[in-house]
This record gives sequence, structure tokens and C-alpha cells, in this order.
Amino acid sequence: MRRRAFIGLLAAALPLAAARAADQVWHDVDVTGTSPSLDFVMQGTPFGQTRTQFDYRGFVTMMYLGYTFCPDVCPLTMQNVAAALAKTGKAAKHIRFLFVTVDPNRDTIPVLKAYVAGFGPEFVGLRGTPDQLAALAKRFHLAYSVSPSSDPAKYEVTHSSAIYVFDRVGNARLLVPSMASQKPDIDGLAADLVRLTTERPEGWFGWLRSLV
Amino acid sequence: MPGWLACAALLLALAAAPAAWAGSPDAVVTQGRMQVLLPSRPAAGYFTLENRGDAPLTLVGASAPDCKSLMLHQSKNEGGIDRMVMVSSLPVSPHGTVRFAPGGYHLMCMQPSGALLTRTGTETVTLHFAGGGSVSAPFAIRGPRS
Amino acid sequence: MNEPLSTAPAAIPAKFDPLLVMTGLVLAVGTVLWWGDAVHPAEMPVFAPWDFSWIEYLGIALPLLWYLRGLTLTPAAERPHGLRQTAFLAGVALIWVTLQTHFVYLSQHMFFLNRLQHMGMHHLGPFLIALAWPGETLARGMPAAGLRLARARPIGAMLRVVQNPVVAGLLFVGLIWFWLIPNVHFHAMISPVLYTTMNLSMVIDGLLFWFFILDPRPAPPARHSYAVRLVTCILVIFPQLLLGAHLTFAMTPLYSYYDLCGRLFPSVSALLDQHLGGVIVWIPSSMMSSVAFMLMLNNIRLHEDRQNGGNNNDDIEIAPGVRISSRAWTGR
Repeated sequence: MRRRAFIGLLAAALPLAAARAADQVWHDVDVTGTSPSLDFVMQGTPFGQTRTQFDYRGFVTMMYLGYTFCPDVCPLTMQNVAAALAKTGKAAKHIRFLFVTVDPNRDTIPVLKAYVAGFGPEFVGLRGTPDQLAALAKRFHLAYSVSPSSDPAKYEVTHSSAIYVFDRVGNARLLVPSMASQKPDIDGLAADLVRLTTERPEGWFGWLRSLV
Repeated sequence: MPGWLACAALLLALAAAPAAWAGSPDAVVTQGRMQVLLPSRPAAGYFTLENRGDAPLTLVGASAPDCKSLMLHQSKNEGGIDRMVMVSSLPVSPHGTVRFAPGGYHLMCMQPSGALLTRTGTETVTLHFAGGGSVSAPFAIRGPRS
Repeated sequence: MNEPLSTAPAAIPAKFDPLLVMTGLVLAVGTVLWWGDAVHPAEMPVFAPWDFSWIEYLGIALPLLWYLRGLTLTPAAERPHGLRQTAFLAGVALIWVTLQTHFVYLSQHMFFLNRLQHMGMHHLGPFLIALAWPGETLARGMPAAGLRLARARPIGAMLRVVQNPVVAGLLFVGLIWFWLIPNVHFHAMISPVLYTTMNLSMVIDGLLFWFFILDPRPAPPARHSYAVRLVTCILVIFPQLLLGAHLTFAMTPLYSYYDLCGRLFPSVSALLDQHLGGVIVWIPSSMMSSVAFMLMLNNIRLHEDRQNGGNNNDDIEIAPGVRISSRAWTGR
């Protein structure tokens, strides 16, 4: 009898566990615990004030490399992120998108400010010195290259297309594949962002990890 | 017929009908639009080009009155790196269609001016083909969020 | 730099311990590299660390210092052959290139370059160092405390375990396999801690394995007989061959990390990148075993020459007073 009760309990628990497991699946690539925490010093829009990761504590923060002479892929990426943000409803006010220019020579703060303003209030432009930019890209294994030319048509810039997502204490959580691809997962990104904003803080361990 | 009605009818006709105005090749341009981000930054042009003739066409360039230059470009995402490459020519097979859409082929408008900066109205864009033919079409002007 | 250094303690008061001064210099250079990497990463030259690590830096610089010092302390006639010295320096240089230069950036953004990096840090670099057989020279140049530590009983016991032929072979191929499990590879590439762990484990294992295989001595001083080592060296070929072929013929990309963080060469697709990486795992790695095999045969030959009373060069005493040149029958 007792044994049967046990099996019954197990049968009841299984779907629950399965539902829980399904709940745990992220739409984007989970990098929790392996990728380093957010860490940078740069000038930010709108006024060129010094920004660090501490300014984004409490926000779910996305980070993306781009440049303003990019008329196609960067706007498409941010339009798709804006579409995802629109689907997060009220959570959007706890979310920020950091557009880090890889072309700080041409992308001044006023230009960055006007550029990101076109996509929504959650978008922030960041401009670092070559050293600050290199440190950030190195930390997150991102790639970029700038081949300057006096002819803007020949000025070549390349950059990684992924977006990193950090939780509210600054720990890296997700890596989002290109949002400028043929089939960007806008709904998936929105769901992941909402989940991160509603997540309970991890306590002292998460805080400790964010310092590393 | 009141003037505004005529105007509206004309606009409707422009929007609905494939907007092929002039030009020798049997090509039709639809869904033309210019996306303007900032006055000091390049704008992007998108459209669908349909070759209705029996001969292959080769797109070799584009121009617009409010762009200092208008180049054929392609965004490429190869192995997680985004880059742009210039396209010198693009073949359109007989009865084939080529789409210039975000994330792929696009027109890159250097130093936008005039109507483009108002982010309203239309811009007349001319596509040039190998052999000297060209097709013009109105492109709707839009901002980054539309 | 040669003779004066060894006589220096006599000439200069004892407080100027040259080893201490040189170690201080190594630390100073390390501090400059660390500072440059932290504060001016964009201006660092290509041969400087892409991602400075004290463990990796000291692990390379100190043995190099000890080896050079050991050389200067060795009488000229007893010094290892010039080729062996060159092998040591080349091995150390290769490990420096694969661990602490801007090559690391390239290898973080192309799978086949990552495989080349591992070839350098696990196969070729440690192979060259073991070939140089630098133990004696290192021991001479090391501080006494370091030498005591290296010869401590627990270290010896550990070495006995990891240089057991089965364990050594399993570790050698097991580590390559382990870090190439797609999910493991992804996290190892993205986490700084795991990345360093991966690289260090590869270098250390490479050294353990090749020192075990390439020991020029016969079994009593060496831990295992020539035959056992020959067999081990050949057996490790097959798992690598299997893995290399698996990567070379896989029709789906397995390593998403490179697509997410970006591949450097647009003309190399994900699949081509993986195929190139597979070829590197497949062919050069097996070749290393073949080279080791031939070197060991040569070690055996030299040993037998010596046993037969040869002068270790090329003649053998076949009967008392009767010597023939082994050149006649080995063709060397």
C-alpha cells in the first residue's frame, strides 16, 4: 500500500518536474556562471558622462557592438530588439540596451545620442577609448576591426553580431545570436528578458560572483 | 473632382500600382523605401526588383537627387561577424525577382540631404542597368522606427 | 654572461644573489606586461600577452631563467648539445606564442587556429622541451628550495601515477577529447577561468606525456621500458585519428561558440573551419607519434651501442678488441 502511494506520488511529481524543466529552458544561449560579469568604463549618452557597470545595477542589460555608419545591420538589430522590448510590457523600464561603438573616432557622443534615440528610451550609446573598447571586447571574446579611409565609402568596419545579456546584478546570463539574421527570435528574446527582470536576486553568492 | 481627391487618387495609384515610370528595361520596382537615421550618417534604401522581360538584366548602380552617391551594398553575417561589402553588379534573371531588404542587399546613400532629412514624403530613386537602361521609382522616406 | 656569472658570488658580496636579481627582473617584466595588458590593451605589440596570466607567465619565464642559468653553471664540455638547447628554447617559445601572445586572439575566433594552438601547447611545444631533456640543466639553475620541492616524495608519487603508461595515454587523448565535447568547449572558450584551466591542463599533460615517452634512458632509471613506451606512443594515435576523422567528416557544425563570438575569416565557413581543425587533429598529431617513435628507436640504438661498449657515437665492440662502425649497418 505504502509502495503504491509512493508510486502515485512519483507519477504526480513527474509532470511537475517536467513542467519545471521546460520552464528552465532559455530561448537564447545560457552562459550563466561561465562568462564574466559586466565590467567597463566608457562615456555614455546623452551627456558623455562616465559610465560603468554600476550604473546598470538593477537593470537587465544587453550589450552589443556596432557603429553609426552602419545603415543596415545595426538598425535592423536594434529594431528587432525594440520589437522584443515592446513585447516585454512593463518590464521594459528595467531593461537597458548598451550600443558600444567600435568606431569611436567618428562616433562622438552627440552622434551616438541622436542615433540611439531613434530606437527608444532603453537604448544607450557608449563610447570608449581604444583601450577601454579593447578591454571590453577581450573580456567577452568579441571581435571587431576598423580599417579607416578618408573615403567614407571605403571605411571598413566589422564587429561580432551577438548580444550579451546581463542580469540585474551584472552577471552574464545569455548570449543572443544575431538579431539581424533571417529569422531573429524576437519572442524568445522578449520572454528571456521578462524572465530575467522577474528573477529573484541570487543572494550573496551571485553578488560575490558579479565582483569577479 | 476636388483637387485633394485627385491628389489622393494619384497617391493611391502610386502606392498600389507597381511604380515603374520610365526606362527601357522591362523591370518593375516595388516597395521602395529609404530609411534615414541621421543627417550625418548614410541612409539605406530597400526595394523589390522584378524582371518582367525575357532577357536577363544586370543591376549596376543607383542614384537619387538627395544622395551624394547611392551604392549597391550587401550586409553579410559570416560566422558571427557583421560586415558590409560593395556590390558592383547584380544579375536579375528573366522573370526573376531580387529583394533589397534589411540584413542583406541594400542601397547605401552617402550624405543624405533635402527631402531625406525631413523623414517624410518620397525620394525618386533611379536604378541603372548594364547596357544603359534605367528605371525610376518613388521610395517612401522613413525614420529608424516605422 | 657565461663564466662570469658562475664566479660572480665569489667576486661580489653574497647579498647580490644573481638568481634573486634575475628573478626580480622576471617579476618586474611581468608587472610591466600585466599593467600594459590591463591599462593599454589596444597598444600592446603582437608578441605581448593578449590576456596576461601570472601563472602562465611565471610558468614560462622562471623555467627559462633556470635553464639559462643552469647552462651558464655547467662546464662548457658538459653542456647539452646545441640542438638540444635549441629544442628547449623553441619549445618554450612555442608555448609562449600559443599561451601569451596576440595569437590567442586569433585562436579564440577560428576553430582551426584553436586546434593549431592546442597542437603547439600540447604536442609540439612540450615535445621539443622533452626532447631537450633539460632536467639536469634546470636542476642546476633552480633555487635549492624549488629543487627540493620538485624532488619531494608526494610529487614523485604523483608522477608515478600519471606516468603509468595506461594513465598517461588515457590522459593524453582523454584531455583532447574532453575539451572538444561541444558543450564543454563552448563554456571553456567563454569562461576565463575554464579557458586558463584548459590551456594549463594541456601544457602540463603534454609535458608529462612527452617526458615519459622521450626519456632517453633504459628502464631501470626510466620508469618504463622502451617497449612499453613505444607501444603507448603508437596507441595514442588511434583515438586522435578517430576524433580527427570525426571532425573532418562531420556534416554539421559542432562548435557554436565561434559563430556566436565571431569567426575572423569570412571566406572560411563554419564547416570548413571545423574540417580544417579536424585535419589538424588527424594528421600532424599522428605524425608527432611517428617522429617520437623514430627518436625512441634511435635512443634504443644508442643505448645498445653503449651496452656493447661503443663510445656512444658510432662504433660497437663485437668482440674484445674488435670494433666495427655501426655506421656500416645502420646506414646513419
